[in-house]
Amino acid sequence: MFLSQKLSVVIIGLFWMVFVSSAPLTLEITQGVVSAVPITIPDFNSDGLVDQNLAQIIRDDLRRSGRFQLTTTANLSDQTIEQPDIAYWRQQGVENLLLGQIKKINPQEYEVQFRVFDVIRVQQIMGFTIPSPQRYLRHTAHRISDLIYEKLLGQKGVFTTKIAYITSYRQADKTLYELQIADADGQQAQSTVRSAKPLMSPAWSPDGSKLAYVSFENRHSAIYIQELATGKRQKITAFAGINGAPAWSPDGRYLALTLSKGNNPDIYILQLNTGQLQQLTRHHAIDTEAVWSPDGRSIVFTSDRGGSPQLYKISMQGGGIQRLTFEGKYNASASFAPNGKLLAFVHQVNQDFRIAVLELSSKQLKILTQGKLDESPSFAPNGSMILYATQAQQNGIVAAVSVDGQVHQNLRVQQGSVREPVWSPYDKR
Amino acid sequence: MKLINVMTSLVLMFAISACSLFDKQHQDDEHVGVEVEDKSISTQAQTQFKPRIPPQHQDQADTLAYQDQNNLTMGQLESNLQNQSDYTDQHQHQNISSVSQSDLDPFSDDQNNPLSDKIIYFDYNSDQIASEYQTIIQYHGQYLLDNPQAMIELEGHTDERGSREFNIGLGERRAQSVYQSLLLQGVSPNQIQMISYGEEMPAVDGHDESAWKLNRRVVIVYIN
Repeated sequence: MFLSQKLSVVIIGLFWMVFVSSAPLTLEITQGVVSAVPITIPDFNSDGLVDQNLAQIIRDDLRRSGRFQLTTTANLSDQTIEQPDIAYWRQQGVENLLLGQIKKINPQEYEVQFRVFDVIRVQQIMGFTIPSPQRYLRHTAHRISDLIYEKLLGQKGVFTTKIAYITSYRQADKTLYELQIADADGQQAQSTVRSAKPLMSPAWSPDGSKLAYVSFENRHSAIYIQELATGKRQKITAFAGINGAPAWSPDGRYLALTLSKGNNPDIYILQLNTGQLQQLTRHHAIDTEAVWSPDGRSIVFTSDRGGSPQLYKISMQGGGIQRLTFEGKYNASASFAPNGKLLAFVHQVNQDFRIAVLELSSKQLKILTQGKLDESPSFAPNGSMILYATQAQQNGIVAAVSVDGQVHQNLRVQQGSVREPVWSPYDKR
Repeated sequence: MKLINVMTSLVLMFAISACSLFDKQHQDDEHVGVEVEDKSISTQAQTQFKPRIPPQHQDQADTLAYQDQNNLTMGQLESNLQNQSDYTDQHQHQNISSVSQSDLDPFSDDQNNPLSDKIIYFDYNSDQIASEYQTIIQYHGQYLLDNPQAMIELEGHTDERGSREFNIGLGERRAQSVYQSLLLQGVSPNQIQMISYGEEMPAVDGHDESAWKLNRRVVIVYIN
């Protein structure tokens, strides 16, 4: 009996994998930068030990960032990582070279070793050995991408981060809604919540361990917080009327949220450990979509108190409310850059809704996207890219644009429609 | 014994694979999912997926204008239009006060039943109830007055344009417009619940005005 239980556990694992791989997100780069850094990454020397091509994962990561130009080369299996023939690579016109190898150190454990060379100066730029259990090999490849990105561009990479998003699809006359989490490259997508009623507004806790979201199960809106490691969830608010737009304070102790309590929507602050609720805005207009400034001192929100939806800022220390957007008749759904200097938001241009950024010091507004129904911008934790939802072929897809507007990526899901993407913070483990 | 074990696990495997599409939780030690069981699905919920044409009112000129607009809508709606004009003919000469409402069944989808019309449509970014929908609200208000045990939920919806949480606010404003209108008729607030789904539950898929105008709506749902 024990044996059969063990077997079935293995088999569950198999079917899980089948499900996961049946609905991948495909990331494609649609536009990159001119000044991309050239790099060559031949396949790793792994003696056929693993079926994952780590070099390919790293090449894809770097190419999709739009900041690297990947040059192809012949695969030289006779070269060892210890003694590479740098002269040969120089002849090939290679400028930066990454060589790697995978060794098995015990049945479940591998060791991934890599070195990056400046071929022109004949110098090693960096070299690491990363022990990696088999199921973390993919993650290890993303870590290598992060290390290269930071070394060559001077900015922390986001290849090991995750994204959460909502999908919806029709199944037997019913629409099903899922809150999913995937790696930043769209792979390893997993369903976190599934419901026959809408799910909305996922928000990562600052340590990346929890998600807050809105669920309409049982004909009520309610805000839940779910622990990702255990799946345990807790209903946070279920007042009459709207329970929406949860946003974590940078220290993770408070949740800003929108409640209407059967009247009209205002912003409230909930202290999570005590349950104490404090009303922050008080106006007969719609006040919603609160986001915290990274220093936690102020909140930016959407309000139509001036007649049309615009962004406003309120200080947590009290004091006045300041209007931030003046261009256009619709500015909503703000996301703060991690450095606190920029806001990304939905901005209406004629009949179209696009993603724009506002530099808070200069008040300069720049439109970054060209869609008709672009929405839900979310900054990457390194501030380099903005994830957002857009329409392609009548379906919702996720896309990303660099803050300077130069790099564009699309992230497709095979089944249904994707929306409300949110980029996770850095993994704090 | 070994064979039996293997057989057991095979059966298990099939049982598990059959539900794995729906029940795929706990398979991964890093990440555990939640399946939300929804207890709220009723037969009424079906009606909101069916595109219903806004009813024509008495004014002939407006009716024509309305049909004009509908030339833009999807082909699947054309047959509804046909049915709708039959309905309008029958109701054109009815005065609301002359109808005995005590026999009416709000759960009936029979088109001769004035309570079968449960959708109020709105203009873009507006929560104003157009005069043509007052009749629908009056019929339901009268029914609620005659049947104090009856309960409704007003579902506010918007089209897909603009931000999602702002649209939740806008959908609630629309539901409140209908709510206020029913209260003015004397309906007890205890008979009315409200929920806004914003743009999350469109009646019609599509990304142009022909779909949008059918999605900007308040649906009256009888919950007992």
